Amino acid sequence: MNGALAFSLIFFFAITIPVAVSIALASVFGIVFFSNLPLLVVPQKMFTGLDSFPLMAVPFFILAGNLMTKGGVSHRLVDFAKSIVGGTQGGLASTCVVACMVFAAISGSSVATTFAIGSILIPAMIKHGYPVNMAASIQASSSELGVIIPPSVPLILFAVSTQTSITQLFIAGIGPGLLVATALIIMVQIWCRVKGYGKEDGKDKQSIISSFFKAFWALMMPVIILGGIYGGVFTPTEAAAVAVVYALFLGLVVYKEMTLRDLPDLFKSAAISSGAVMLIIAAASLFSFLISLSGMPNAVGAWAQGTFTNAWTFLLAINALLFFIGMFIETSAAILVLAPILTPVAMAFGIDPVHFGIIIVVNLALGMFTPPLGVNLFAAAQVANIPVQNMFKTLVIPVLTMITALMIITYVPQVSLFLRDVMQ
Amino acid sequence: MNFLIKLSDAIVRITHYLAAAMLAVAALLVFYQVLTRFLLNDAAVWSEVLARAVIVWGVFLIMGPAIRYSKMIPIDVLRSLLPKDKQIWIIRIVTAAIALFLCILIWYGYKMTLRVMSQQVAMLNVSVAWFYVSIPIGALLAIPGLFLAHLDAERGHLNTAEDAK
Repeated sequence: MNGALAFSLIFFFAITIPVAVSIALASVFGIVFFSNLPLLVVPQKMFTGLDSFPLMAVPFFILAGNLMTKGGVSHRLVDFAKSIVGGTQGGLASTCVVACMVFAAISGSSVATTFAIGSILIPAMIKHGYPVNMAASIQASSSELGVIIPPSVPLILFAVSTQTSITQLFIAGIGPGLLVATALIIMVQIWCRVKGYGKEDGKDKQSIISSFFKAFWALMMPVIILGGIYGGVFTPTEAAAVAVVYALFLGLVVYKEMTLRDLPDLFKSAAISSGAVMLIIAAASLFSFLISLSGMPNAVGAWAQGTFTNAWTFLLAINALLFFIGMFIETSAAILVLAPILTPVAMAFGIDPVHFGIIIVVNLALGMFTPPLGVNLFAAAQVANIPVQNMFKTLVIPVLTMITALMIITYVPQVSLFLRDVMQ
Repeated sequence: MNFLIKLSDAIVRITHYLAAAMLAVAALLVFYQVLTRFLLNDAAVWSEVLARAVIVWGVFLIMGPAIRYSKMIPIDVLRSLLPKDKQIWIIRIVTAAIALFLCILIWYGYKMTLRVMSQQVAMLNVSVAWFYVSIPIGALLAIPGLFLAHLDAERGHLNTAEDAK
């Protein structure tokens, strides 16, 4: 059954059947030909997979992100980021990283971050003389902070599919997020100095204090969400619902950049983009029920224990595998299919599941801007109005930077676990 | 044919609005739960159960619009490697696969609904069948979306074929 599931899944993916349908049909194939189960388990497992309170945080965070983008939050955050780091050479590129980092703390998706921040900063960078490919590449790579810094949709998916604590994963995402942001800032600073770009970036920057006050209500958002979760005031799902209501309040009442008429379209687009992810979750819960039934995690575990002598080599192999998979396969599908198989194996090697979840998400976040297929690439190319291929050469620098950061996150567990252990 | 297209279009649009409304309702229900806990010091327990049901309904209702607007996330490598006039065959296979998936959901979702008829949902005192029935209904209402999406693909194919001539 294991082989049948794996091969039919790869075959369906290859002939471009949508991810959710591929996963469901591969499961049906396994059920019909390699088990005695009735097909009634198909609706049953898809239903129970969706009927979960923690999971509801996914559509809510996607909705809140949509509302924030439209509601005038992003350009206030960009001005604030610029007032902090905008004064140096390469200040605009650094602003891009910092703005993505702050936006990441209110949004759970990297594509949303690309559109929200990129639509302001890519044109600004081009205006200040950055080559368009470089601007788009910096944006595409900075956006990955959206899924590393909490709240994060992929971290929720990892938590739900492996029964790990969402709260712990969210805390563990902060350290790696700061590390990645620092690495990217160092990268753009060196890059701009070597190539001589961005010498007049600081010209129209505002004072820190005035931009802080303009962005104050937007900056309160992460305080409410993360403070509420870590303070034990509410669960991640409740925090997400509060974020939706707060985003509506900001857009409609405080900043007044959104009207009631905009709401139906915003809700409709959030329903579609979250629904597409939720359908993958439903199909994947059927799939993971079958693989646990057929003992795939044990088989993979036994093989891994025999092949890799220690956690070091195992993690290296996992990173190589995920990097390859992440280049082609959509992040939520990769997490939902692979995390239930690999996490028990990682735990047998003595790796903390929270740390392992961070490794998976950071690695797959790298895949979001690695050619040939990466959601951030397409989003950034769309915003910059260039073909994706134009960015391939300039992307080498951010990809290498991120691989370095990924290696540090992989082999120094404290980067992820330090904050969690302090707070417990 | 024209009537079929108009009807399908209406079904896609209505399910899209319904799913969007479900998302809004679910968010408000959970927000209400937070409010009751803080203001009345007594969290409403039914709101959580109801919110979960509303989300499940919303997800199965959005299948049609998601298929219609090609938001189902395929992995598009192979198709783009094929010459344009051959791509339609891949699209036909994909449409058939989605149709098979929807039929499985309609038939076994229906049977599952009948089977759980007597089970009650805690807190709400209704049958859990009201939740499960979202699967066959959502899948049934997704067929018009699939029909329209495929029609577009066939028309696009005809146009490129004519351009080639």
